[in-house]
Amino acid sequence: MNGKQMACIVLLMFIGAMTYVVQMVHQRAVAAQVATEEAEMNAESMGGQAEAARDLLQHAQFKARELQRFLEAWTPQVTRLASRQEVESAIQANTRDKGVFVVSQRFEDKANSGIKMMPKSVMASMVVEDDFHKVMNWLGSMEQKVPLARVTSCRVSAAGTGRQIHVEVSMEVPLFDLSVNPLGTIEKNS
Amino acid sequence: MSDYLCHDFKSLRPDVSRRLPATFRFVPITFYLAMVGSAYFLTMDILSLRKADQALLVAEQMVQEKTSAKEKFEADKHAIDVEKAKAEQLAKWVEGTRVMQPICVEAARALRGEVRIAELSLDRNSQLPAQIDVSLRLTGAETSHVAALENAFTKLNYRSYSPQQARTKDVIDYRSTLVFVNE
Repeated sequence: MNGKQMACIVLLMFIGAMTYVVQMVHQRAVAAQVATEEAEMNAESMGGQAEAARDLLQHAQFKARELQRFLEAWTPQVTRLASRQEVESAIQANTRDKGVFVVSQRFEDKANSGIKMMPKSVMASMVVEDDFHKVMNWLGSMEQKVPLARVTSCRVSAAGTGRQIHVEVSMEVPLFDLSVNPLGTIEKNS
Repeated sequence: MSDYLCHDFKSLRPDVSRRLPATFRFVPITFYLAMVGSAYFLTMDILSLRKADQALLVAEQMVQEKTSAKEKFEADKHAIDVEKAKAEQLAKWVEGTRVMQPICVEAARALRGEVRIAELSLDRNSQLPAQIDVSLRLTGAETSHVAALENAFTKLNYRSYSPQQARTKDVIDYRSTLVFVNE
């Protein structure tokens, strides 16, 4: 092989190397463009998903507005009666205020299995004997001052003397725990 | 310069190597063309590569922003759902705490004259707390008094379901289920 042939071969090798390099760079550029297009499509799709999530949020906010207001209004009542002692003292304070004659009273704890937000209730049973109007004022006042109390039964009968009545009232006062998630799902931090 | 050298320089000499075929002239031309083409394509590709890299960064940033926005919306919605569930449970309870005192008072007010309530019993249905089973024993009462009693319940927005009354001498036993009607 003479020098001219060698020079031709070297030039051809240069041409091949250059073509190879150009092709490699071109492939990289094409791959980068494809990746960019994919990322842009991803961004677009994620944007759509974010829009959908925002619409769902707005819908949920609109639908839950009344319930949120309701919860906000009742939260002070719930937090006010968070323990058995608080329930007992609220009921007894009302009884003292109204000055009715209490024959007997009993408070018991009741476990509510299956209701996460309301793990316990206080069952109160009271027997009262006094004038009709006094007892009714007492009952009305108690239902007003302890609005979460659910009177389960109320029996009114004539007492032994004159205008007096004998009233047996049973009620259940729940001890709500508003920190519990009733859905049982894990809270996400926003 | 010596004569010998001058003579030697001018004399014809045989070719050291054979000439290449004519087609091999295209090799350098191809080389130059390849040089120019490569420079052009390399420049264009590098420019587009840089542009694509920048666009990729922007797109990735956008994906990240949209993802975090979506997660925030979902977290907010979850918080609302939790609050809604709490409110629903509380509302369910409160719905069953409708006051009983007005029923007793209205029943007493409705019965005038010689009628006496010997016994009044109100029991809340444990399964359906919005329903109250009412039971009354009236002495010296007439059918009109029972109607007045039912009117009194209606005034309080309670509807009386399946009322029953049994009369023995001057005693009427009245039973009914009161269901609150939301208007």
